[in-house]
Amino acid sequence: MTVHVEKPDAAHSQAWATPEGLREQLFKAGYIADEDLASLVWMGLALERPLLLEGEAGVGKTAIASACARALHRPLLRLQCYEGLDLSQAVYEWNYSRQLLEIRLAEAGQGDRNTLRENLFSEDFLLERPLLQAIRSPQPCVLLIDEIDRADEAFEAFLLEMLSEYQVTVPEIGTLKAVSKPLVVLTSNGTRDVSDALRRRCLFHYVDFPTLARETQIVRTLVPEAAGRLVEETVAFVQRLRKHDLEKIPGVAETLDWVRVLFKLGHVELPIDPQLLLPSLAALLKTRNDRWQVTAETVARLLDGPRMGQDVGVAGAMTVNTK
Amino acid sequence: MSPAALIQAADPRQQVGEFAHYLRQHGFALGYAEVELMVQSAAALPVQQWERIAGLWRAIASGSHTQWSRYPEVHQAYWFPNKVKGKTRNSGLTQRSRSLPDLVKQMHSDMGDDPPGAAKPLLGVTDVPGSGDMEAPDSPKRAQGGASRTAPQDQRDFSEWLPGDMDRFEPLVEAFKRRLRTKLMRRYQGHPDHGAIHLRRSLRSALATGGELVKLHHVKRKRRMPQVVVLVDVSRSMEAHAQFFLRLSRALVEIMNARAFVFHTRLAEVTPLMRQRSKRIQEKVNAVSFGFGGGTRIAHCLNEALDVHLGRSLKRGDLFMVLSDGYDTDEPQGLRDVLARVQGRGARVCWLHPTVDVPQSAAVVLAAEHVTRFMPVHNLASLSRLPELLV
Repeated sequence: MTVHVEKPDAAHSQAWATPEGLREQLFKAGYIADEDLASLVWMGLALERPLLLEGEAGVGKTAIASACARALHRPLLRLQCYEGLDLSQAVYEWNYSRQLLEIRLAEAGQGDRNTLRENLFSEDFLLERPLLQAIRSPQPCVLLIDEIDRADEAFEAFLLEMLSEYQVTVPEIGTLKAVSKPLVVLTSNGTRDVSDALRRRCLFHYVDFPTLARETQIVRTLVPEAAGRLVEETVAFVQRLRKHDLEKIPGVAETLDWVRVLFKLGHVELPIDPQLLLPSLAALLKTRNDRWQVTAETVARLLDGPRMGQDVGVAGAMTVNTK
Repeated sequence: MSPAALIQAADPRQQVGEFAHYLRQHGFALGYAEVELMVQSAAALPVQQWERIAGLWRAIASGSHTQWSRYPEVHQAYWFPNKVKGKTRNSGLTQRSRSLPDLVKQMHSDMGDDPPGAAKPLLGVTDVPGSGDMEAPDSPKRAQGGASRTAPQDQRDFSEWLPGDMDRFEPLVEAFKRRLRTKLMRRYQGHPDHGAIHLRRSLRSALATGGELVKLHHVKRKRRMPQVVVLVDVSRSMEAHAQFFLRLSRALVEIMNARAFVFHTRLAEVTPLMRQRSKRIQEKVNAVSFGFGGGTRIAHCLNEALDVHLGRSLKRGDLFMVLSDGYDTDEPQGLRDVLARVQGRGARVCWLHPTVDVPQSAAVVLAAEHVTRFMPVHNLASLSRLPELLV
């Protein structure tokens, strides 16, 4: 649950004092954010507001949270939402086994019964789950609440208190306030509408598919071993493929997978023969209909589009300002 | 007084409040907290970076992908009206000019050394006419003389509608959905804190606590939302009405999670197409329907829907909606037989026809005994009676 954490120093804490500084830190952490996204994360930090990221699967919503954790040198706590997720899995649960053990010990005369009565429902017997861990952590962390649209509406309603006040109310104890305020990142694939009350508490950003130039740079950064020409041609191919009406449009994650597959197959550029490419398209096309729709002819047409030299002129010229 | 001097004199918070009011008029839901946040974010940025404000305010004001896409246009139209192409300017109106860079400068000078996260009472915003009260529209004018409050669109036939009018379907389908009741099933499913105690599961989990029943597990009977199936006739006789029925079926798919089919002499499921928000949907649906030819085989198509696509998924309480004028080239008994099969599964058969009167074709007359309800849907007023299908 917790990722690589380094001890923060003054330089790191000042690194995100400006949106440019934060963008640079994210770049160093392996995430190429556009200006709007970097500004959004910066604002989330500055104003202590949760971020709600919506977009197609595979565009890098979850990766933003882990990149923020690396860039800010904070621990990452992740809560994967699903239907039926309840407070005992997300926030806290009483440690019943330990409570019973204490009771048995008291019955056997090895403990003070009066103290036990008072302490049985204290924080000592509380098992902290990700949400409570995030606000009780002495060091600020990054809290990723992934795929909030999969959780029930009741859970969403519970989040309102946590996201607006950074506190959790445990009936037996009272209200537990945040020791440190985490950077909260909520992601949604838009499978259902998140409530307006939750949206109001968050800063919204729609993460779209990246432009050709940005995607080329992402792939170059994350798959440095692949040949430059292969990366450029592959990204251009995927960009053209996205314009087709597919059921599941390939995201950046799929592009990265495909480049890795082609690299492992020993290609240094996209082969001209579509038949050579078809088997590897399993990395890009994830439904039966899409596989059926993208035939050898379609692949040949996509390969024959504007060749890479013209497409990547933009990519070659583009550099992220990290200085 | 020059415009620049006016800006200097005006309260920046008030100007942001006016902008928030403008956003509300364009469908953005902004409350006090959002306006305050917009002020804070503008003040938190260095003055030189005022251009970033559009991005930050976009994140605050938007709550959906649609709003996210629309925001830049609205922002540009408000703060930089001179740059918007095709803008009509009315002479004689004295409107104070707006300048976002000047506003940010003013905000910084006003707010001085406030830390970015510091909250301040939002002075001035409540004074803005309309900006504080989202629910304060002028009371509608009463009809006078021979005037009527009925919108002409309500009575206009669907064949006369423009594509822009189609958005009026959604509220009606929403109202229809609210009337749809879930069905209680025989099977049970776990519930966090209500319902009957599931003894076996409770005892099993008690093993972790030495046999003490610390946590009880509950179960409740499952509830199932009735399935809605829409079959749209796209034959030549329905040419004038088909696109409106398709739009209606799209609303049913989006809001009620219905399954949509189009039929002619053959049948095709278009539910995945209806779910996509592509501009090419209409073209694709047209492509599917045009390929079939000109005749209509209702009975054959309904049989195909039942046997091939729906299988055993059509159950008691489901809604089987046929949108057709009833002209069938199959044997008249065929339609009666297939509708009897649908009814035999406990589903309600609703026949929506574009004519005012119930279709009088031989097939429909013969099958009428198996149709739970006929309903004309030739205009918006008739569509508002959709909930009656559930009575």
